Amino acid sequence: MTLLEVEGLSVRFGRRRRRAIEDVSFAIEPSQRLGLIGESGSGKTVTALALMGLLPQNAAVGGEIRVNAVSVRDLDEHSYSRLRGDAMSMVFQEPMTALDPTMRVGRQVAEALLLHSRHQAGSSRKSVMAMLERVGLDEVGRIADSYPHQLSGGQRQRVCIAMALINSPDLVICDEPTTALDVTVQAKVLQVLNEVLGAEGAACLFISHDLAVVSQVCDQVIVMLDGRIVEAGTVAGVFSHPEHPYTKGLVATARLDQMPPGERLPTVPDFYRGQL
Amino acid sequence: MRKAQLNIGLVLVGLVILAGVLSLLWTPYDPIRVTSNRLLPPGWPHLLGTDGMGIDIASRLLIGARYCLIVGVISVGVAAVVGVPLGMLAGMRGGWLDELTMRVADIVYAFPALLLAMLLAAAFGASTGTAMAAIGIATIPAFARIARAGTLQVVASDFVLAAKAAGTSRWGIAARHVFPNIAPLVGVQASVGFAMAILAEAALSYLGLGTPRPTPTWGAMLRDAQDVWYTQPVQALWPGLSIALAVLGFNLLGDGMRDVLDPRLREVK
Repeated sequence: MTLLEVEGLSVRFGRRRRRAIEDVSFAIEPSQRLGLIGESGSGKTVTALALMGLLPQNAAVGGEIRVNAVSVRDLDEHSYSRLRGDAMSMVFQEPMTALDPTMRVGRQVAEALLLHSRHQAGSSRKSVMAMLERVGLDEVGRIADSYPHQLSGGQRQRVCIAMALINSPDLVICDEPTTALDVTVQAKVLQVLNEVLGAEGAACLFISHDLAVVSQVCDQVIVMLDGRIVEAGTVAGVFSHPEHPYTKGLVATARLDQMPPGERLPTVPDFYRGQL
Repeated sequence: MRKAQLNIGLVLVGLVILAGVLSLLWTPYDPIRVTSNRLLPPGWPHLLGTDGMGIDIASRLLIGARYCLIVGVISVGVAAVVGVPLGMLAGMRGGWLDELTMRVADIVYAFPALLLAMLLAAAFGASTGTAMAAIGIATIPAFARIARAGTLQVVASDFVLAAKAAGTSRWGIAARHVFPNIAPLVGVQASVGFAMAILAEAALSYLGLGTPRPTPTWGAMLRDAQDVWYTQPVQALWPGLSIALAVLGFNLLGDGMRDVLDPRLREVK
C-alpha cells in the first residue's frame, strides 16, 4: 500500500490568493526515500508544511493528501495532531531554534514520546536515552539534562532527529536538515539519519537544494521550480540525463569541478537559452 | 553590576517583608491607641518619635509595610492572573479576538487609574479593597500586552512549529512552551508592577481614597505628616523614605530577576 499520495496539491496565501505551489503530485512508498530539490522560494517547505497540516491560517489548500490511503484533508485538528509525531514527523532546517530554550532536551524528546504512548515517566527516560544513543550522541545522560543553548549545532540536530524518530514514524519529512551545519558535521548527521531511517524502515521526504546530499540519501527525486514539479525520476536518471532545462542547469552548476579553469562558469539561464 | 542590583533589591524587599511579618507578631507600641505623648521627636523610647495622636511612628511603619505588601501582592496578582491568560489567548488565537482584546486594553489603559479609584471609592466606599481593585484593574493591560507580545514572538518560533510537528496540542504548546518562555517577561513586569502598586496605594491613601483611618498605611502617614509639616518636618521623612526604598527595591529586584529567570543566561553547570 502506498504510504503517502499527494494529488494536485495547491497552496495559495492571503486575500490576494498568491500561488505558492500548484498541481503538485507525487507518491511515497513505505521506506522509500524521496528527494525534493529546488531553489529558495520554489515551494519545497510549503509542500512539507502542507503535508504536516502546519501551514498558517491564511493558507488555502487544494488537492488531495492521503496517508495510508486515508485522506488527511478531512481530519479535524485533534485527529491530525495525533498523526503528527506518530505516523509522520519532521526535522527542521535550523537546529539552533527548533528546540525550546527553556526546556531540557531530554524532556523535549520525552514529550514527543509521551504524547503518543502510554509510557510511564521512568521508562520514558530509558527510551529517550536509547534513542539519543542511536543518533550517535555520547554522554547521553549529560546531554539529556542540558538546555539547548549548551549544545552544539550538530548535537542539537541529532536531538531533533531523535525527537522525530522516537515514535518510529512511517514518514519523516526532513526540511534541509543539514543546510545550517558545516560540511563535516553535515556528513556525520547525514550518516546518522541514513542509519536510523534504515533501521526503522521509515520513509523519508528529503528536502534540500544540495544535489550531492540528495544523491547520498535518496533513491527517487523530484525537482520543483516556481511552485510546480518540473521533473521526477530516479536519482541516477535525473542527475545523469536531466530533461528540463532548469534541471540541466542545476546539475551542470553543481559540477563546477569539471569546468576548465578560466572559463566563464555556467548559470541556470544559459540552459534556457539553448531551448529557444 | 547586575548581581549588585539584584542583591540590593533583595535586601530592600527582604526588609519590607521582614517588617511586615514582624508587625503581625510584635510592634513596640500599640499602633492605634491614642496617647498624650504627642509629636515627640525621634529618641528613646520612641525611636522615630510619635505622631499628632501620640502614636509610636516606628510601630505604624511596621504595620504599613504589611499593608504595602498585601496591596502589592493582591493588585499585581489580580492584574497578572487576568492579564497574562488574556494576552496569551490574544497572541495565540489572533484575528478578531486579538484585535478586540488589545483595543479593550487600550481603553482601560487610557482611563486614568486615579479616576477609576475615585469611582470605586465613591461606589463602594474608600477601603484597601477598592484601592487594590483599582490598581489591579488599571494594570491588567500592561500584563496583557507584555504577555501578548511575548506570545507572538514564541508562537512564530521554530520550536513551536517543531512541537506542533511532534503532535503537541494547543494547550500543550501554551502551557509547556509559551508560558515558560514568557515567564521572565511576566516576572519582571510583576516586580515593576509591585513597585507601581505600592506607589499608587500610597497616593490613594494620601488622597483619602485608600485605606481609611486609623489603619496606618505609608500613604496615610504621609498625609498626617503634612499637617505638622512646619513644626515637625521629620515626620514626613519616615513614610516617604519607606515608600521610596520599597519602590526602589522592587524595581531593582525586577531588573535583576530578568537575568536569573532566563535559562539562556544561566551558567553551564
